[in-house]
Amino acid sequence: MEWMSLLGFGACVPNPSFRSGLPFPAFDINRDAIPPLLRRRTSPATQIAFSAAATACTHARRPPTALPSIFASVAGEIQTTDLLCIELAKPEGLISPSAFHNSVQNTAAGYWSIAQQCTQPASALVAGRDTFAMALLEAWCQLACQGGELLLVCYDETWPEYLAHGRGEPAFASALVLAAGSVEGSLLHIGRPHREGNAVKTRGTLPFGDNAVELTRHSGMDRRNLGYRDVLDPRHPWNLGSGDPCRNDGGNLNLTALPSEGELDLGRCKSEGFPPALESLIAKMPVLAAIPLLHLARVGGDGQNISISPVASGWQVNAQALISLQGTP
Amino acid sequence: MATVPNILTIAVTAYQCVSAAGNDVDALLQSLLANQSCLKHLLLFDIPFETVVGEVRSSLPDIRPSLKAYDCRNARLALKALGAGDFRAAVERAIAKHGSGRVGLVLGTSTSGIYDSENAYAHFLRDGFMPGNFHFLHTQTAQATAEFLQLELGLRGPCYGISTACSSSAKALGAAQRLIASDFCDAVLVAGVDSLCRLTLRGFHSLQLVSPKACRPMDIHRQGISIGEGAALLLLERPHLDNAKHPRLLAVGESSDAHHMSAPHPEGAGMALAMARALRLAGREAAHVDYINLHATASTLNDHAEAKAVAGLFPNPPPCSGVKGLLGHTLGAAGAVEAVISLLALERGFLPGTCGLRHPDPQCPCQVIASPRLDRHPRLILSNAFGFGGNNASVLLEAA
Repeated sequence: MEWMSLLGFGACVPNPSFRSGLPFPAFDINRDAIPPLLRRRTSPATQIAFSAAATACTHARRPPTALPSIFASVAGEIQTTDLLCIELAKPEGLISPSAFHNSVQNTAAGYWSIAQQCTQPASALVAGRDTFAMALLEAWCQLACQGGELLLVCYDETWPEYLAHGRGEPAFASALVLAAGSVEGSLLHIGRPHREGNAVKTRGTLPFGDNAVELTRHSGMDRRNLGYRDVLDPRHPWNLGSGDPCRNDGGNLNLTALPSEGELDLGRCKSEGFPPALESLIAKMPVLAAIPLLHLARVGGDGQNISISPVASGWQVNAQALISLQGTP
Repeated sequence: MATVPNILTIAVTAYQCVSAAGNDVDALLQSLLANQSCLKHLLLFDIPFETVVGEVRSSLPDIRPSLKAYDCRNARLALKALGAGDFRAAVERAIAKHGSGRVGLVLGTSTSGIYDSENAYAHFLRDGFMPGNFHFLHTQTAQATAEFLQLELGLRGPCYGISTACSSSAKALGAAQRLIASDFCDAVLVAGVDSLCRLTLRGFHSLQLVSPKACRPMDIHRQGISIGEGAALLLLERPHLDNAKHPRLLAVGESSDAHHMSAPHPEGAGMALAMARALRLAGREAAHVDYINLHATASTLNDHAEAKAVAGLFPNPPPCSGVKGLLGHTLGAAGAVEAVISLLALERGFLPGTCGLRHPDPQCPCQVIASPRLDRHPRLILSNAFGFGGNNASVLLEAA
């Protein structure tokens, strides 16, 4: 298989400020994408995954019932798991049976298969900072071995702040409908995931290496530049507050690691990895590694190597934008 | 009529397992042949109800200082399995042969390091912050033990975790097979590792699924499941003349029930689909299967559904059995642990029994054997693993 083809995509970003700065269409949680019976039972993680997945299937004009799925996430149902762990630590803590079965990593995958009456295989993949890259790799392998089409959803809800300081936000879900081979009229032809040659040198460092933390720690948020709406613009004052429906700790957390003006240009995002501003965002929330690929699918452009993991891992794909997307998915 | 296989057959060149039965595959084999339950009362922590578990009671090795951030029970179980027999040497041989960048790692786990997180949360509730040695992304998230093994061994190929509850490590075998078939790797270490923790014990208890006594799969008097822990490691390699004497992974069939989050489809439709897909991928017919290692958790719903699935797919079902009365249900590790058991059956020539089965449930219309059969030498084995979310995987293994 020389290529896989992107037939459609979707993105769900509950935080309105972050959403409005993205260079491709993204939406808040879409209640209509979640069956009424599931709305109260499901976590933000499952709801953003459903929302992105539904948008992608509509965009690709594919019925979800026929598509095998890969649901990839760093922390899965971390808010539900957190609540259970708190109960377990109390002498008289109560464990709810539904919270327990909704704490498994494949909760979103399971509910999606049930909601769509889809008996195709559904997987739940986890790979830390390489979660998006390994999910694309797994998608490639499934399509190369078995052909056909599949749904790839890569998502994380926000994590309780005390579990990993300065990490785990913003909540973000992207979904891709992919097909084996070169499909005419598709948005992108995506080549075989590969590794930048020298990336392996850095293996052996811990994932989410301390460099990333340092970047975060030393860059303050600049509240003066309120006019910049593009979150990929280095001057964008990205700010997450307690208004984010995916936060459960009610805390205000101002996170930004946006470097000085002019460094971020996705068009130059090649073998050297993500632009610095994005690299530091991805260090906090690894599933944001999907952003450059979605950006290319949206705006088109020449074939190029797109980073799909932080530079320390070095995973990339060659992606050929075939048509510029008209309108929103 | 058999069709041509449409996935590359893979050699399984080494395998090991640490479980309640003991510290390596030899101990596991002895336990399978003796068919005496290894389920005992829980030593690791207190729980507010009666049950028995498949606990690894022997000491676990220390994590090396440079990888201390990964230290948790799950990583220690994995390290113990790595040191069992000559498994580590087999991985090192594969690295020397193929290059570290061509050796991948796929982990199946459901618990990851949550046992250690539970201890950290006790600290959190008492003091208002997590202890300094708590490393969320190195112990709790489901790739953690995969990264630990990768760093411990110096592997540089693709590395990730599959976490689909109790089918996790069966599906990891499928992902590993695809990594080799798609030429990203020449060898992949598959790890199935799960550790006992309060979350799973009390969670299954909240679902009223935990048996107070050793579980009795497929028995009319079953009272629920018993939970266990373990680490199973399998080294998968591209088939070659020099590994032709090793048993083979033919295919992993996968499906979804699309029915319910915590209960299987009552007719076992998704389970049957997974088994049928494994056979179809491998180009084999149901009649060729010599033995089925059942998922057989000893929950009434699972046992009934799985037996119906087998009876529906196999006009003449082969002998079946389930080992969870012996080791407990090792959850995310079960797919890999039971693949190892199936490989032992293929290589040593026997069929495992169903420890705890005394009065077969008449609602389970398949031939479930209670005692090990030493007069059978199976060549083709299906091994089932089914999980929450209706997530099904069936592993098809063949003798060399």
